[in-house]
Amino acid sequence: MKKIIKSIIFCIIFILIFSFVFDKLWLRKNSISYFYEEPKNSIDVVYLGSSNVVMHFNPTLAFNKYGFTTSLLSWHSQSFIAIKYLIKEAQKYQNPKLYVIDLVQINNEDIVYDEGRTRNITDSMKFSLNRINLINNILKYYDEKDRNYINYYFSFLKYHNKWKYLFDGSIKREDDTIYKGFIFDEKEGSIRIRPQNEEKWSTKEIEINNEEKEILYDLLNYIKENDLNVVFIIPPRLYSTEYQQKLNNTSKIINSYNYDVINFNEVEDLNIDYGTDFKDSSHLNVYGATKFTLYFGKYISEKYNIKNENSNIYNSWDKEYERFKKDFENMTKQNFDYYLNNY
Amino acid sequence: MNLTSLVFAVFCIITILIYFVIPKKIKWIVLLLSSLFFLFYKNFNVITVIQALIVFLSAYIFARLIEKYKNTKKSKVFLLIGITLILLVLIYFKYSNLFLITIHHICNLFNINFKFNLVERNSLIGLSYYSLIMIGYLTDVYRGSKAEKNIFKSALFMTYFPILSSGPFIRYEDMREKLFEGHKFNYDRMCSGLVRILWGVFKIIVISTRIGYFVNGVYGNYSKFYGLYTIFAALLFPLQLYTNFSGSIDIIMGVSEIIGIELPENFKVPFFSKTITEFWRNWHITLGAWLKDYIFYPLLKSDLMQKLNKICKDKFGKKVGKKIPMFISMFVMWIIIGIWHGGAYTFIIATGLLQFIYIFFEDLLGPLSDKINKKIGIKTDVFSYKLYQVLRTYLLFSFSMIFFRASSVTNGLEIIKSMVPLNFLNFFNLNMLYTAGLDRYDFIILIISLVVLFIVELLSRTGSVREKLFNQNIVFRWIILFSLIFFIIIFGCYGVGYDPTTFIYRNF
Repeated sequence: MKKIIKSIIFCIIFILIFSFVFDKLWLRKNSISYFYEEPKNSIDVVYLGSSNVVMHFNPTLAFNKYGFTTSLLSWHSQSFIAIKYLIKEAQKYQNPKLYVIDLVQINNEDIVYDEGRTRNITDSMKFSLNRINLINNILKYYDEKDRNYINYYFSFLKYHNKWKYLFDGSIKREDDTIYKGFIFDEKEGSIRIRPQNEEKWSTKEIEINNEEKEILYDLLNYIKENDLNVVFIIPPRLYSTEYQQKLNNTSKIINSYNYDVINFNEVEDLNIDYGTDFKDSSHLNVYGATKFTLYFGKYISEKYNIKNENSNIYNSWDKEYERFKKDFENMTKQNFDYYLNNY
Repeated sequence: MNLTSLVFAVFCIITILIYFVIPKKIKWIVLLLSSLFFLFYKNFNVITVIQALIVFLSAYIFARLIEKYKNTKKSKVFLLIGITLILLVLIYFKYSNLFLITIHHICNLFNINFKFNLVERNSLIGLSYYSLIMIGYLTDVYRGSKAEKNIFKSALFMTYFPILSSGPFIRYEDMREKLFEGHKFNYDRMCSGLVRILWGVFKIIVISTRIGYFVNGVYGNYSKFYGLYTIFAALLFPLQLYTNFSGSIDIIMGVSEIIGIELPENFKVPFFSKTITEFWRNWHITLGAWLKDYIFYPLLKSDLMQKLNKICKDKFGKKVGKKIPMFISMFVMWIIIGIWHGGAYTFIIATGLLQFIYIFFEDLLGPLSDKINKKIGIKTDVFSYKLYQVLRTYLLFSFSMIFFRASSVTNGLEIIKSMVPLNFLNFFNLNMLYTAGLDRYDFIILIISLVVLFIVELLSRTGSVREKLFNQNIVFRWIILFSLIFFIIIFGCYGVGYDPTTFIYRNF
C-alpha cells in the first residue's frame, strides 16, 4: 500500500511539474489560450470564427458599453471543423449565454490543411479527449503521410526544444491577456471602392460541397442536441459572387434548423466605409471594428438581454479597456472617447 | 522498432502487463508471442519468415540430433551441418556485398573482369545476434549441455525480444530457468528497471543523438570543416557510439529486469581502460566472451595450432614460440569481429585489424616500455601516469573509429588527411564551430550531459549507481530522478524537427 501511495505521489508531482513547464511556459499565446485564463463562469458570449473575429469584435469595448463579457475562441485561418470542439471546450469552463459563429471559414475549398493552421488551435487547447478528437477530425483531411497524430497530441514533442529561447530571452510572456484577445490595426487597406459587381449581395445559391455540408451538419446537430443559444454571422468584407452564393446556401441550411444568420454586408445601419474601415480585403481596422462592435454589441445586449452580474471580474475588464484606449490613442493620436462621440 | 519510440514503450507496457496477469505456467508464451511480434514488426514476409525458420530449425533439429548421437562421430557432423546452415543464412543476408567486393578485388589482381551489382537483402532484426547465439547453443550441446526439447521454448530462446536489437549475447544454460520459470511482479525490481531505462534514454537522446548532429555535420562536409573540427568529431564519435550502444543495452536490460529476467552485462566503464586489451574486456563484453569461447580457444586448441605451436617452440624457443599460434588465432578472431560489425572493409579495419595491431604491439612493446620507465624513473602507479594511459587508449580507439564512421576506406583516409590542413593557420579556425550541427546552447547541454555521464561512470566503478541512489533518502532520490526525467524531456533530441534516433548497433 505504501508503495502504491508513493507511486501515485510521484506521478502527481511529475504531472504538476510537467504542466508547469509546458502549459505555463510554452503554451501558445493567442485568443484561444487567453480563454483559459478567464475565471470560471465569467464569460457571457463566446465568439467563434477565424481572424475576422479577433479583428472585428473588441470585447473590452462591448463590455464597457453594454456590460457583457466575450471570449474570442478564434484565430487566424481557423478551420470551421474546430468550432464544435471549441464550443465543447467553452462548455467545460464557462456557462455562456450566447454563441456567435462567424461563417467565413465554412468555404474550405481554398483551405490548405497545414501544420501551422492546425497547431494554432490545437496547441492552444489544454490536453483533453476533446482536443484529441479535434486533432483526429482535422488530420483526416491531411495527406496520409502528414497524419502524424502523436506529434499533434503531445505538443511538447514539438516545443520541448524551445528551451533555447530561454537563453537568449526570446520567450516572453505577458502577465495578462491583452485586450481580451482583440487585435487591432489602424492601417487603411487597399479597398478604396467596393467592386461594382459586389455592391449588391447575390440572391442566387451554389450548393456547398459534401465535405462542407458534413462539417456544418455535424455542428448544427451538436448545437441542437445541447440546446445552445447560437447566432450565425457573415461579417463585413469582400466576397466573390460565388462565395456569396455558397454562403446563401449555408444560411438556408442553418435557417432550416431555426437559427438566425445575420449578413452584416446587407446591414446598412452598420455604416461600414470600404475606403477607411478596412485593413485589407478581409479584415476590419480599428475604426471598422469599433463601428462593428458598437452595432453588434448593442444588438446582442438588446436582443438577448445579456449583462454580466459578476462584479469580481469587472476590474480585469476595465483594466483591459483602459489599456486598449491608451494603445489606441498612442497609435492613432486621437482621443478614443472623442472618436466615439464623433465617428 | 526504435527503442526510444512510443511504439516500443507501448509494446513493452502491454507485454509486461499481460505477463504479470496470466498464470505462471504460461507466462513464457506471452514472451514468445511478443518476441515474434517484435521480430517481424513491419517486416513480415516470405523471405524474413524463411530466414528465421532456417536459423531456428537448424539450431533446434541439429541440437536434438547432436544430443541423440552424443559421443559419436555423427554428432560432430550434425554440429558442422547446423553451423554451416546458420552461417549460410547470415552470410547470404548480411555479407553478400563484402563477398562480391572481395572477389572483385581478387579478380582485379589477376586482371580478370568480374562485374557485379551491389545487392540489398531484407534481413531480419537481430540476425547477427541470434545466428551467433544459436551457433553457440549448438556448440554447447555438442560439448555436453542439454538440448531444449520443446520447440516453442527453443523459439523463445532464439527470439527473446530484448536481445534482438543490440544484444547482449546469451547462453542457453544461463537463460533456461530465467526465461521459462514465470516471474512474479516485484515493485523494487520495477523501479530499478525503470531507472535503468531512463538512464539509457538519457544516453541516447540527450547525448548520442546530439553528438551525432555535430559528427554528421563535420564528416559530411570535411572540405569545409577540417583541422580541429575533424579531430574534434573523431574524438566525439566514440562517445556517440558508446552512449548509443550502451544506452540501448540499458533500455533492454531495464525492460528485462522488470520482467524478472536478468541479462549479462555488456559494458563496464570501457573508457577508463588503460590498454586496448583492457578496453575490449569492458566493451561489448558478451561478444568478446562468445568469440573467445567459440572461436579463439577452439582454434588455439585445434590440432593444426598445436602442431604449429610445437614447431614454433622448437624453432624460436618456448617464450616466443608459444605466442605465434596465439597471435594467429587472435588475428582470425579480430578479423571475424571486424566482419561481424558490418559487411564492409571499413569495419574490418576499424574493429578488426587496427584493434589486433594495437593489442599485438601492446603485447610486444609492453615489457620494453616497463623497462624504459624503470630505467628513467617514471612512476607508473600514480594518477598522472594512469591518466596518460587512459587518454592514450581513448585516442587509439578514436583513431580506429574514424574508419567505423567513414563510408569507405578512401573516405576514412581523406578524413584523416583533412585533420592536417596544408594551410596551418586555418587549423585553429573555430569560427564555424556552431554551424557544423550544434549551436552554442546545444554545446552547453552536451558538456553538462557529458559531465553527468562521467560522474555516473566514475561512481559505477565502486558498485551499482542505482543501488547507491536507492539507498538515499526519498527527497534526494526524487530530486535526482525528476531532474533526470525533465532533463531528458526538455533537452532530449526527439520529436518534431528531429530525425528519428537510429541505433548504430541496431542492424547487426
